[in-house]
Amino acid sequence: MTLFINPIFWGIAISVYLLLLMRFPGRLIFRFGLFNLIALTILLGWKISLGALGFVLLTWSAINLITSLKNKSSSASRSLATLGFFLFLFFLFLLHKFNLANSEFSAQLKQTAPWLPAEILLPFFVTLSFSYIFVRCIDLAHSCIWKNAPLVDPISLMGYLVPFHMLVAGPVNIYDEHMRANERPSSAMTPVRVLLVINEITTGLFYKFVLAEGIRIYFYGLNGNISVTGWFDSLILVVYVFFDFAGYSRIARGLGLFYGIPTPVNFNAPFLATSVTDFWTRWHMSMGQFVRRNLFTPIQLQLVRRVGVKWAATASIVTMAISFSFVGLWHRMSWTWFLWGVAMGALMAVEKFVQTFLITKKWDRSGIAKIAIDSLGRVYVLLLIILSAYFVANEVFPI
Amino acid sequence: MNEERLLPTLKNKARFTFWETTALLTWILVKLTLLASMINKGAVEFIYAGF
Repeated sequence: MTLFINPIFWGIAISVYLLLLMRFPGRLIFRFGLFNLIALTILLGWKISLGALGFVLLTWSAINLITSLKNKSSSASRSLATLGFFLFLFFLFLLHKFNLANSEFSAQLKQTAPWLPAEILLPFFVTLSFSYIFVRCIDLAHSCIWKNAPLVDPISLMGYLVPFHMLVAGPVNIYDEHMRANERPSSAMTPVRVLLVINEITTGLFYKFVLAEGIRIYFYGLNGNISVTGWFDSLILVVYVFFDFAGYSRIARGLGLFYGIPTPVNFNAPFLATSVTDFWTRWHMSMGQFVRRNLFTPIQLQLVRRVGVKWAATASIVTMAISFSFVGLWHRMSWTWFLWGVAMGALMAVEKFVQTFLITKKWDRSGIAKIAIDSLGRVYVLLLIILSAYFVANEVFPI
Repeated sequence: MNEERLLPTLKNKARFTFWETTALLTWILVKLTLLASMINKGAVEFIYAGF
């Protein structure tokens, strides 16, 4: 699917901005949700758009039911409904992930579960990049069910769960922020702001279509696919993915700034990271924040409550491994990615101990020692990322 | 690599000077020209991995 070099996409993107400028009744997130639905219909066709609306309505009804049970009924029925919702969501996610990992999955599913409309469902998930919708649903459920955030109407929810400008590669937006989106997209658009937003979008286009595509065409040819057979390929892949992903993210961010719809920053100079922990606060930042919000902090709290503060460090290692194994499986449902996640979690746990050691020795403060440690850290992170890309590359870019 | 580091002062300004505006517009134009040249060469929107 061509999106960001498609003139129709940019026509729609500008139209959505102009429509948001007009003072139609309703909150900004409702109006954005409505225009987003129209944009999706033009871009992807009415069937996909209707399917997406159906999914959003289903999610909205489930969350609405669970939150209303909280007010009236017993906690058992609420827990049951919550479990049912998460199982259903996870089932759809598994279908999508198995489909991405195995080209024969659709045919296999037709044989084992003929009652499931696999030929409609699986391409639908691929078109909408369901992995992103899945994590947004978790964020929504966490906010509404456990943090008592109000549930917005289904049209506004459509703008949060399936935003047309974040369709291809996220970022993972935050429900609490989306819900509180203020009403200043048009009125605060000064010439300076417009120029900066255009700069953000053109930088994204430059990253994706000039730098990333330039790298791909130079090394693998105009119609060539990326393949990793050696360490140098792995290095090229890391640089390519950075410009590709950061490019998409910046275009989405620029459009989000135009509309006044919260669209998180996704990259912050990741190759300057001095540790793996630091790297994951700079690379795909919105995913890192999602994991911290919805997995790491709640699991860590629960574990420490059960085992006591004395075991907090051990609990932190376990939580880190659980959280990052989720990140691994989110990329691809495979053992390689699972082990990748566990290894990343374990590395970060080790880094915590090293950091504590450096602090006790006061090496983290003094000038020369700090410069040396930071420089070594940057080399270590780069080598480690190249190494990890080498092991997982073939699952994303089959040779 | 990260343009935001090069533009921290511009981001907090309410107004741009003539030279700041010219520089930013030129940079935008350079990016768009290079983009057009890549598309003319046949660059496509290569999506490497479905998520």
